[in-house]
Amino acid sequence: MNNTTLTVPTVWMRGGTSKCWVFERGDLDATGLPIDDVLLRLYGSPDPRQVDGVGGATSTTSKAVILSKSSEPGVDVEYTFAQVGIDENKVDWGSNCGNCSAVVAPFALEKGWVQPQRGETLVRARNTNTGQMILQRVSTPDGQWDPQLDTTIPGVPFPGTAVGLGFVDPAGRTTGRLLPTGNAVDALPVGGAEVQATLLDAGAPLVIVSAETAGLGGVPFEGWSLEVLPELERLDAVRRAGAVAMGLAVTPEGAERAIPKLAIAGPADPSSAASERADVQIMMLSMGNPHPALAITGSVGLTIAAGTAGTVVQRALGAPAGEDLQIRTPAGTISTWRRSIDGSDVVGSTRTARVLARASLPLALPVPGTGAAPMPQEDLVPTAPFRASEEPSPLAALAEPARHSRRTVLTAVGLFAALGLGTTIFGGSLLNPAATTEDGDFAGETIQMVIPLAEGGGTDTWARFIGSEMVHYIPGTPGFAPTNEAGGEGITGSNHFATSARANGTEVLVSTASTVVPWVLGRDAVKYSFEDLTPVLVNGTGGVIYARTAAGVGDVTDLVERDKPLVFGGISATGLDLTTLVAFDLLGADTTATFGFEGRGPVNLALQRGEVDIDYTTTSSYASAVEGIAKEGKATVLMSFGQLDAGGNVVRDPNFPDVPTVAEAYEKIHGQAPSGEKFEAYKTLLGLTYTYQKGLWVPQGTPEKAVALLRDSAHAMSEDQAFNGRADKILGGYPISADETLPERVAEAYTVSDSTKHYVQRLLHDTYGITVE
Amino acid sequence: MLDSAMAALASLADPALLVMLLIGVIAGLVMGLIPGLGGTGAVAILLPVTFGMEPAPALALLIGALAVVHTSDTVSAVLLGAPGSASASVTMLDGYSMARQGQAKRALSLAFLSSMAGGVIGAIGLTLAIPLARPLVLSFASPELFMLTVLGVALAAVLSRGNVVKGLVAGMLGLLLGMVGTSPTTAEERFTFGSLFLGDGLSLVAVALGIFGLAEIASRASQRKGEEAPITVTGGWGSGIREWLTHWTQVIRGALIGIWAGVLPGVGATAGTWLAYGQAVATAKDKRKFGKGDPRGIVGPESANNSVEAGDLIPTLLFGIPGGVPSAMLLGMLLTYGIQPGPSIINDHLDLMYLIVWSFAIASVLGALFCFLTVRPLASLTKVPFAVLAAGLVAIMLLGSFQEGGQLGDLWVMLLLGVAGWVLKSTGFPRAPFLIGFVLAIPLERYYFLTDSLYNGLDWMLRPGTLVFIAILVLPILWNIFKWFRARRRLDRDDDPRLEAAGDSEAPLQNSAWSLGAAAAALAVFALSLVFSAGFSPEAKLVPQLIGWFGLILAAALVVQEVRVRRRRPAPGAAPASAATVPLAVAPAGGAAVPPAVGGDAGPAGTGPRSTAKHAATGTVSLAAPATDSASAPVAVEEPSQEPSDTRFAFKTFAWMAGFLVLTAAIGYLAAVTIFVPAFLLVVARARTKTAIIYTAVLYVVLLVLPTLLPIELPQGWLGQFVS
Repeated sequence: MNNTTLTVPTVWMRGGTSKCWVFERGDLDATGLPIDDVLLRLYGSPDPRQVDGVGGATSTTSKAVILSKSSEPGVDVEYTFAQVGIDENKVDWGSNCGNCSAVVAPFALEKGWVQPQRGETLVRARNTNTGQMILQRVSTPDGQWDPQLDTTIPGVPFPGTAVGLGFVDPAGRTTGRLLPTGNAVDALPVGGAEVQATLLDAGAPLVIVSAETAGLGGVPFEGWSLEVLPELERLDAVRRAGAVAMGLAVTPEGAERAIPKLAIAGPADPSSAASERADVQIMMLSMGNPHPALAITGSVGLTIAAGTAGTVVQRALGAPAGEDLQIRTPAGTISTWRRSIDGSDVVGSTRTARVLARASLPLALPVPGTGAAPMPQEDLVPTAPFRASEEPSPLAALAEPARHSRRTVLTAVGLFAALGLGTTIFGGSLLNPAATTEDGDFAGETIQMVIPLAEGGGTDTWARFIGSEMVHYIPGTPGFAPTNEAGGEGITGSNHFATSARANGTEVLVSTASTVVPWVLGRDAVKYSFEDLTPVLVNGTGGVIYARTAAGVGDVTDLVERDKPLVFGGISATGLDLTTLVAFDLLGADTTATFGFEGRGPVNLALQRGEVDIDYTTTSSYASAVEGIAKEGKATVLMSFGQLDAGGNVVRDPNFPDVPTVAEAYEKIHGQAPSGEKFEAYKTLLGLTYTYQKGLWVPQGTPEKAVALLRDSAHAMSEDQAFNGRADKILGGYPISADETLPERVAEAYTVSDSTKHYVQRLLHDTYGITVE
Repeated sequence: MLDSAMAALASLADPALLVMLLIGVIAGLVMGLIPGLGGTGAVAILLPVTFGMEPAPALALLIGALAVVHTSDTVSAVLLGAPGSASASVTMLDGYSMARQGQAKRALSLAFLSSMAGGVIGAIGLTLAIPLARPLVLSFASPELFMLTVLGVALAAVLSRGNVVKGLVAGMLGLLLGMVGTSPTTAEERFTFGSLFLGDGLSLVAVALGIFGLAEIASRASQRKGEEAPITVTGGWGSGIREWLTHWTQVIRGALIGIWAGVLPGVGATAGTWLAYGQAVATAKDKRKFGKGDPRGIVGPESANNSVEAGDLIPTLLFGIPGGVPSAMLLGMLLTYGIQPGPSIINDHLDLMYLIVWSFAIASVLGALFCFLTVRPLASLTKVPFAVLAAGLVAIMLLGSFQEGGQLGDLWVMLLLGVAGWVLKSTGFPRAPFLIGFVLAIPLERYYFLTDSLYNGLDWMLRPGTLVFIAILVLPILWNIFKWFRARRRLDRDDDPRLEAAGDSEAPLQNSAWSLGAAAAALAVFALSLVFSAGFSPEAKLVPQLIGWFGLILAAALVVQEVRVRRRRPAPGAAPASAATVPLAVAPAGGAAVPPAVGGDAGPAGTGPRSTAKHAATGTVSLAAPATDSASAPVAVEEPSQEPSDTRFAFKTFAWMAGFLVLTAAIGYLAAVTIFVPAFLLVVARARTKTAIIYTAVLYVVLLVLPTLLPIELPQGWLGQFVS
């Protein structure tokens, strides 16, 4: 291939309100290339600026007219109009351009294809896009072609040569009928709604909507071109729906961009100046944008529409249309006429034309050396789909892929199904061989830890830390795989573990206050029982109850005999809060409770804001939440929950050696040591929710050896100074407990007497209105 | 202070630390890309890795991930219309519109650059806000937090594209759905019908991916060809950056709102992103393009949702109160190092504070840079026929949704919500308020309840903060009512460019029997919710009843509106069809009639000619063509017609998904994928056989390998349990 530069002679002309390059068909054919490609390249398309071509980067300046002398009797000139795409690699052949039609007579006269007559010369031009005959009349007073620049039309600031354009029998050129649907007004389905429009085929196919329909009702005409902008998308959908209804396209998506055109018609503004007095005002959309002037084909259609009963234009007119019509456009008012000449319906208007330049355009296409080879450039789309110039065939899109045969589908799916099923059936046992945990080590095993709460919480952090540390103390160093099964406040995951965990020592459940309390309360949803699980290790925590100093609390004695009860901020009465509620009940504290906080942190903030008066905190968040405000004197630490010792007594918390326990507070308030049902309940809850708060458990029936190995490893870990150093903050000063006495102590702590159960249920029901189901 | 800042920066020059940061960034980006994993996925994978590390590299790792999760979660929202998080649904409004116009690259570039700036500004804000944080947090009491949640839902309802009443109804439906589960105030189970699975509430991932993701797949799976709008490839990095720079004020405003919202624990993040969008709309002169691909609708919220993460660190570090799972993870990690969050952290661990700030800033830049470099390949995803993408997307979305709760029930919920989302979308209900309502339901109830029980009467309404929020909420409504009246008087409809009658290609069933049906269904749902909630305890039914009544009134208004629209307009399709059957007889009659009679009076008669219309439609190609022919659509679902309508296709796709779930329950996820994906590709997408085989094979291998690399679990079927 070699880069050959061909040149194409052309004349640049203004016709009406458009500019077009005018070619002789023979000159284009001489390039030996498809016309679409030649035009696109000459115009510099596709490129939004058409910078490397003669296109003007707007729709009215990216046009071409291709003429040839006709040999047919009754026809002087044949011409074809081309709308050259700007940023699209596409030439639209679907419609005629009335403005550009005005260049035909001057060009034909200049070329000498038509002999000028004295007075006026008639040029019979046929547009091949539509098959439309256009009678063009130019003034030739002396029988010579000597164009005068003496006529002005709206939309063009300078005068040009007047060309009268008469359309002979313009109706139904494209679709065969003036009203393709047979209706003066159609309801077009657009986006589920309906839009009233006149569909008319005269001059060119038109979709005409009223100003109201276009969302311009009441808008002054000057504002139309601005106010229509947000409606453009919808109007284009209307236009496309019109194309479908007129049979120009099969689907709205398949409609061409330039055909049909859309016109918005409204009654003339009464307020407009006398110079702008008109019968009707029209705005056209061209290639999806407001067009300042009126395409001449459009003016023909609108003139006929004005004379057709029931159309949108006729309705806008108010009065019946006469022979002459004044149409106001954004660029000015134009006059059209409609006459019957020699039995033909002729509709016409006057345009002007002027030669702008005579040029020869170099065609910078690489062309084949021998001339016969096809398309040299790959990025130029094959022309065939877009060259349906004579008939509007908009189905340019790619076809849908074909169906596959049933055999192909069944074979492919069958093969993959076999693969998938095979993996499911055999893969499981290959990947997960049976565990051997009774042989004294966990080599090759993986400890699966079920954390029934969401990632990121305190329990989750604790569990992941303990798990990842503990595997290093287990002989054989098994892998560690924590999984969070959050749901139902921890109940779902625990239930699932209780019913389906493998009892071989490789599956471990994490427990915490939020899974223990529902079990204590005997909630229906709880399907697990800590009596049926075997503990591996437990870890406690502690906490303190503190109050807002400003609420008038100096020490524990301020809890009773109050004028105004203290407001306790809680999360949920059936969670960890329960222990605090039992403590309040035991002490006879004068409190009311508001539940529903997101967490302890927000309660702490609410206390600082003065929304609540009394709150508790666990040891791990004491430093961040309470220590500071206690030092500032804003809060008073009243008591600690204490810890249960081996004998089941409430003793001071090692992390709060100077803070009295709930039991001591009771003595201070009531002058005697606590006892009875409430105190027993408190001690049970203290054990479950603080001293033995978090635990790791294996299912019942786990081999004794495996349990012993896990527990001994945990014990070794809890004795290791290095571990305790690392775990200091996580454990919050409460050692891990995994010694031999653990099962016994846990069994005792996790035994809840019926009287405690009933007391708690009664407390929740009577004081807090909660019925445990 | 400056010394510590510089020392922290110098320490980041340590290659080991930088590598950690880089790993964190990459992990965060990957997690963010997969809808449904996001921040929580990053937690689970990175937290165990940090045990045993020194604090500095561990922090770099986690902050790296944390800073960028909201950078990459934009990708699926913009490209596929499937937001992986509630805040990404904001970016989706304009981002997805823009991508559908072939400008995916532009949308992503804007989003990534804004994310980066949001992160950097957030990091700076983190430093500067520390002294302000305490008074700020303490000045927001329950009433202010309640108003903030209300504002979040209201803004989403008003600002989403479309009819405001529909937006509010969608928001109310979302709130109601959020009420399913355990009441935050009384621990009572509501709307669970005795199911423990529902007791925990619905999973956010299932809701978000169902209502947006699956609905999008159903409505677009009929696309067997690539996107029609050409992908814009013009313009290099430079032009993207230049365009973004023109929106610099939006970036800064968005980021500041994000920090502010992040500082408030609990409700901040989601409401904050909406506030950022709201202010962008409110301060714009030309609001018409919002929701249709306005760059300002991407820039503000995207910069906000990254700075929220930085803002979120403030309460996490200063009060030990994390605003979400990712910062809870960070908190847990700090605790393992004995770093006690609290006001004293500034004095005790200033170096680590600055390390966090620097890491956050650097990670934001790195994350955006990586994403920015992948914009081109990512954007070209939209060239792939959607039906081909759909097969894998269904598999991945369902898997993502399974991860949160590990329950098959979540997947069925997701499918049902997919159908609901499709109906909402097709009938022109904005879905963003639905999701925001769902997310904010519990905080809204919580803070309303707390406000109600901690304050006397309506005292809380007089708090200055509350008054400000009430003003923000009420003034625009008054202004709009005023404008509406003025517009009525002048018959000037330009004030509301999104007229209800405006056609919307996104909502083909708008103003059809479907949308009337949807409004009626909403009415029924609210009525039923009132019936069910009547049995709750007084505390537990307070908010659900309030929502029920509000929703009932709004839904009733909507039904009236729909009925009026149907009365006013002739049944779609009837007019052209009758013309086609009796063309010549009708034409003169129609032409001679008084003009308004042509369209206006056809409505009541519409029911009669409907059947005629359908017969005519099958015979005439030109009339049968619009698949959106709304009047005949409800009928056509049952009846075979020549061209499958989009509605039929959508329901077929849902049937495929249901089949997939049945298969999963029976034979497990892996085997179900190996059947569903090739079958869908060959039968529905009509992909080439080679494509289908490679596609399935790759997916199969990924599913085999994934559970060992990431904390991902594949649903087990009955078969798997039977075998083991």
